[in-house]
Amino acid sequence: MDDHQPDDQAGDHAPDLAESWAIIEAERDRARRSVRVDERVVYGVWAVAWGVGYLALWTWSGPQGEPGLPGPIVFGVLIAAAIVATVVHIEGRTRGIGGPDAEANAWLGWAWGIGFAGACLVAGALGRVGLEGEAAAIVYNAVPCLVVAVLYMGSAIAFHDRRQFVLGAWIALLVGGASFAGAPTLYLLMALLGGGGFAVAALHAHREGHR
Amino acid sequence: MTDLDPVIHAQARLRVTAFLAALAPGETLTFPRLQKELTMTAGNLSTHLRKLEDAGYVQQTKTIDGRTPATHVSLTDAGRAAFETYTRTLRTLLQGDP
Repeated sequence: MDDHQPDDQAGDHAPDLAESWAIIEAERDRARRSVRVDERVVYGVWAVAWGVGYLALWTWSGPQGEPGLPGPIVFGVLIAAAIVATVVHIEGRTRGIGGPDAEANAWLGWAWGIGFAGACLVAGALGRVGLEGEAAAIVYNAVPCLVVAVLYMGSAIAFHDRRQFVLGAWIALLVGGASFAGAPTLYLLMALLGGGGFAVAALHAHREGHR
Repeated sequence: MTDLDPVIHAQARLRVTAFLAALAPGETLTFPRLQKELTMTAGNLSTHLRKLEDAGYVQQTKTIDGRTPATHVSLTDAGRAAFETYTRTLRTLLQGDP
């Protein structure tokens, strides 16, 4: 752009009024596209992971509702892919950004890791004492989902994000209600209403971005 | 035109200010990331940041991240207020423009 000019001169000219407005709009847009987390991407990725993943668990579940192959593999691969996509997107957008929000986000990252480590330990302990069948299916689904729900609501409170709070509350109530339906119906409910919840959040973020 | 803040009203400084104003208050950006986003040379960006800093609109904080020195750039409250005044004045002038 101005690289051909001497450093102390480059970009020093005064733009006209219309050009000034265009510069402001362009830089706002650039900042939104480069250093802001695109919630449409994050919620969209999780809408697909939950929608298709839970549908796979439901499709290939056994007679007692226990997940059968390849359901858990499809579900696991989609969840892992969604985690990678989310981390890569957020890391790329927020690299180089500092301040109180960045510090809170770093703590939040730890909270997700610790929360899921705890959920895995609980699952391991329940397996160790012999929990199986439909009860296992309900608990193994509910514990990590409640971790997600509570972290969403906590994060929403920290960042004054009403949409995230509603999504967290929706997931908490959904997983509670779906647990009563038992396996494998709960997988279908999680696919439609859980994946659907993420899709609605993505759509809401999209509409807000165009307002 | 004379009502527009001359510190901000230069192409490069307007770009820097508008970009930094899009960050949340209190947020900072490292110099290399800002340079990459604005596709400006390091010397050019430094020059304009210094002018904005002299006016009290920008703050540059030098830190050590691990063993690497890093410069974090942010818009000050005065800079944010000046940019808001600039955009308000610009909008008024544009509306009055035939």
